[in-house]
Amino acid sequence: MEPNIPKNINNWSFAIKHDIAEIGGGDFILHHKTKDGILLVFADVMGHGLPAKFFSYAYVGYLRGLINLYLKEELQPDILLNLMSKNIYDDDFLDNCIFTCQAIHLKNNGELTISSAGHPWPILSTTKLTDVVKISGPLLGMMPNTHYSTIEYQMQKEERLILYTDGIFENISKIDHKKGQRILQNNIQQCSIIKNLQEMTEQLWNNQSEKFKKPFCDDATLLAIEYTPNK
Amino acid sequence: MTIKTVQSDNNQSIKIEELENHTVLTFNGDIDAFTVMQSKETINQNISDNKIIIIDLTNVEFIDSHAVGLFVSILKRAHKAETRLIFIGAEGQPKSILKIVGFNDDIVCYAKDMQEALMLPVL
Repeated sequence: MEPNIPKNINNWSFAIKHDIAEIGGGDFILHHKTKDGILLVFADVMGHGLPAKFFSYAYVGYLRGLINLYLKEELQPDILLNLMSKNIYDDDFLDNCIFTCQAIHLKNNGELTISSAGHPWPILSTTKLTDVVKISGPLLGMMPNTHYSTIEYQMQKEERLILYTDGIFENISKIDHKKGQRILQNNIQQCSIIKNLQEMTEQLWNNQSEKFKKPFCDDATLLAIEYTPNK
Repeated sequence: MTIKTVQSDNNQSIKIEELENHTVLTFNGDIDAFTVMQSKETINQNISDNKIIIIDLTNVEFIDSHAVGLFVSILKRAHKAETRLIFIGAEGQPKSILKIVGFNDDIVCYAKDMQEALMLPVL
């Protein structure tokens, strides 16, 4: 179960790169079609190897069950994280492993709504600028009754949102996250002129790998999302 | 005052001190899977539920996800006991990680040193 998603769903295109630190790996992506778009969960189970893989399976199963349970309500990202956090706090099994994630609703008209639980800021890339989307929230299950916030944004044609797990700038040099994020942001800016989403993602990944000298010491996943109406 | 120390071969150590109203965990060196595995049980056995917990990161330059997991379990224990968790000396990578994963000022306290931490009122 590697992180995966189709290249095109409705009016959105996706490109992904992924690498694991050792057999197994705890990064995962879950997507679910809603009546007006896609609900996407991008997650990083902390740790790596087989234990992280085991818990990523457990979380995916749990999440699918939760989404199906609330199918009629069409869970929004913040409500989904609120529910998950409460249940994880109360659950002695899921409580044994922590994970960071972002939940995003990508609507067919280009609107996106995003909530975050302890995950690094996503990066928005247009041909003119590259900037972080400052959406934050505590880890799931950290405290009881957490209420997650959301950010809404209207994506324009060919704008891109880059999601990543922190493994992408973690290697033996143990770099500070802020510095790692700045380097990634500059890298995205340089690659933004590449029109093809898959090619851009490949180039971005190669630049990161060159900069941080593989092997990564944590699982690393990069997901590029582009609004592509009428494609 | 009681003191326990967990020492590993690679310059990582944890000192646990019991003060009147506080339990102080002083870490030295990186906090990673190895450190957490070696010390978690000792920490759990030596935290008093009715005391404020202070985690001293003054001599720590790097923490990984295992450290975050350890801090989350300590935070939940403090919360259930209706006491508080204070970090002191958190700078650089450790502080940046703590902020990203949500150890914000509304959940925990940050103090610049032990003196400031001990001045914070008991809940």
